[in-house]
Amino acid sequence: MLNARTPCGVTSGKDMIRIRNLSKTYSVSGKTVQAVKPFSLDLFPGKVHCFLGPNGAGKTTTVKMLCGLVTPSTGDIIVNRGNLSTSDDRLTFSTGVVLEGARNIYWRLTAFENIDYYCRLHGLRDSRNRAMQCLDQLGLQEYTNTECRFLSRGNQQKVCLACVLALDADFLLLDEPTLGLDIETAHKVMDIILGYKRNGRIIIVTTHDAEFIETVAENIILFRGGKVEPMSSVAEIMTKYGNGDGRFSTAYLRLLKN
Amino acid sequence: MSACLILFRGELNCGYALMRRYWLDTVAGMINLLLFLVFIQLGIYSFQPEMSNKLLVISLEKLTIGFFVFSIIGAGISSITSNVSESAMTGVLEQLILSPIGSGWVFFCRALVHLILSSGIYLATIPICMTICRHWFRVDFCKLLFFSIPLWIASCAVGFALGALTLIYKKTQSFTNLIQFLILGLMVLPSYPFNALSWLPISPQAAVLNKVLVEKQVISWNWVLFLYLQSAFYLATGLAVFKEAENYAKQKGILGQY
Repeated sequence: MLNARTPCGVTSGKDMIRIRNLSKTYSVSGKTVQAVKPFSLDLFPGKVHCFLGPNGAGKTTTVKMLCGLVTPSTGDIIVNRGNLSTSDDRLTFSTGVVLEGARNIYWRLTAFENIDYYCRLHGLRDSRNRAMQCLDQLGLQEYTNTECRFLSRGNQQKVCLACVLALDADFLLLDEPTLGLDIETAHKVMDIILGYKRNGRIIIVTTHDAEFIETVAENIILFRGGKVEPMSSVAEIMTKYGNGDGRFSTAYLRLLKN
Repeated sequence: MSACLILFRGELNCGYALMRRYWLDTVAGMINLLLFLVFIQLGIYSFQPEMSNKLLVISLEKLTIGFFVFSIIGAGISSITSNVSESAMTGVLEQLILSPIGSGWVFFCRALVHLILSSGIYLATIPICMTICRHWFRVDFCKLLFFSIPLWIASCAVGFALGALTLIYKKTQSFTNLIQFLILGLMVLPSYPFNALSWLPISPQAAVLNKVLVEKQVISWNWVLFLYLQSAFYLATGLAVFKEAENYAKQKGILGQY
């Protein structure tokens, strides 16, 4: 029987994820393309790990490899005693994933129905309570019974996040979570992510939002042409590449040009 | 098992909510079905007025049962294939794949909910149709349901095989439409009493339904056992094929594309 809180390997919020020699090679029209070159990385609990890099650098492919939607060409994803890159059920039970764009939800269902359904999809019993709590947490109460197709882009994104947050997962993968959100909502999302971090969860975020990175990210992992470069922190990038204006975006641009 | 039940309840909630919310589509579907049957029955009556009442009732009976059989097969196949392609189009497929219960069982639960919600409509259509045409014949609803189950399961198996193709080749509606002719062929094959054709999916289930309900033959319990085991075998094969297609799509990184 499946147990909501003790899935394959991720047994508590205190486990770390060790990525070893992970890579992905695709064959496109007979040509071999290395989307992600082999890399190793340790993802510690209680930290927000931020994947940075230009479009097509391999961030989303790596996110999909980590959650099990793409099979790696080489390498292992190890949690405690389990090897998640070979295990059939992998991280899936205790992993919450928001993929890019508000395409993770059913537009003809209401916000409440979507969250309730996602909880049930992961075998969680108290889905109704979880749904109500998450709607409350993200300020979506007034849209509880509104079909998602009638919601604004930002509110649809909030429903996507609510679906994932309701799972109370140990491992959170968020692909551009603040895309299309107004500044107030983006800040709310940041607060929620920081709250999750304090609970000892492993959080991976891909984003282009400089403010988000400055506020939330602790461990920066840079993606460039499929090559993965762990950068440690925002402060390190600011020190190495900043021009003294105190803006992360300036340092980040200089880093990319480097 | 309990996770499957939780998911089933979730699917039932969503299916019922959508049926109620889009009531016009539900009612139109029922009227469509009803008119189709009524016009065919009236057609037989008007073109062959010299036909004796007994013969007329037999042909109407065959037609109604045949149509019911075709509807059950269609419900099994199309609810899986259309759900796979619709989920890929709307972007929720990846979330369904991430379910620890397994995407195959998610689609199976959804097809079962579709059957439960629509079988009421199918069953109600038969007496309504008889009333309109003023031609009565006896239908043993218990036998109808009992022998429809293996038929529906075998249809789901074919649905999973087609769903597997949809996962890999994406746009397969035209191919699925083509399969309808194959299904019609399977329905009329003489696979009862036992012969080589009895090993085919759908065919013996449809043949036995016809023998039991139209020709009022008594079927041995060995045959009943064979029908259930054969459909269970095909369902397991269909699920395995679907899982293989999912793994292939993960390797190629084409899971969420449409």
